[in-house]
Amino acid sequence: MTEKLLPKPSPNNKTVNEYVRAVEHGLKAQHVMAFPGGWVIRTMGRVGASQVFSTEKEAVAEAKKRATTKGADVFVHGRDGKIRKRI
Amino acid sequence: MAAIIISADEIKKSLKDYDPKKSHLVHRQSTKLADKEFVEAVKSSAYKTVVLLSGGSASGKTEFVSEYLVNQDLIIFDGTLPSFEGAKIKIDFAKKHGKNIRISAIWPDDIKVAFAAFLSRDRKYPDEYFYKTHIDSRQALLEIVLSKNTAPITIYRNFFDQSGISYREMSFQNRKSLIDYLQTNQYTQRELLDTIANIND
Repeated sequence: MTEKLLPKPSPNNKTVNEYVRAVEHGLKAQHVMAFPGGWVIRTMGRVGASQVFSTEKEAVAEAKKRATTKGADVFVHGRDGKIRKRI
Repeated sequence: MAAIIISADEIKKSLKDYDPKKSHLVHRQSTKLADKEFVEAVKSSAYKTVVLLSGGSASGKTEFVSEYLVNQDLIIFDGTLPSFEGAKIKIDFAKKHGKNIRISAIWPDDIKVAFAAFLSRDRKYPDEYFYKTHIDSRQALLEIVLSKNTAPITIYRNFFDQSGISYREMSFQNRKSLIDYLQTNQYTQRELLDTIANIND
């Protein structure tokens, strides 16, 4: 298998730029997820250890705080991993 | 000349009951209308080539079209190509009308990037839709290759970094190596959920 890089999309391509903005915004989202022993907040754009909250409510409250600072959305996932709620 | 682009997502916007926050509610209706538009375009257009797009939700398909295909004489069906049966109907119909047909599959290099775009763009779907379209489109692509219902397939990988997105065209030595690649790159819902759940990794 070989790969060939295509020419970079034009910086004026509105459709591409909207996609990039959506990705950048999405990467900031705060995801509240079940974790052994509690709940954690995770993001897609950052690597780092997560604080474990003992209740979902506490995790959501902290996620909301972080989201406000970053201008991001909060998603609460169920124990099956699927999104249960968008805040 | 410009491509004729048929997109269920674009059709949705023209529907009376469309609410971007509940896109899934008009999905079936818009898909039916898109299929109808496809039939009309194949029957009436002088363009000789049909391109079927394939790939899960928010893979960067529409963006690929807007950058690389929009100015060519093509009939483009911009959808996820979720089933072998649906693809076969389109392939057979296009061939019957003397068209050349090819499939362009757009795959995100990092599924988390596609998921980020999926969650943030204007039109909203339940996340179930994201998993389903990524699983089904890859499965359908494999079935198309295995069926020998020959339509040339090209896979483009969509990369995202600080400079934005870029695409890489993948080439395979032969059909067998394409089949091997497709077989080893199928998803299950559990795998996707686990990848998304480990979003810091």
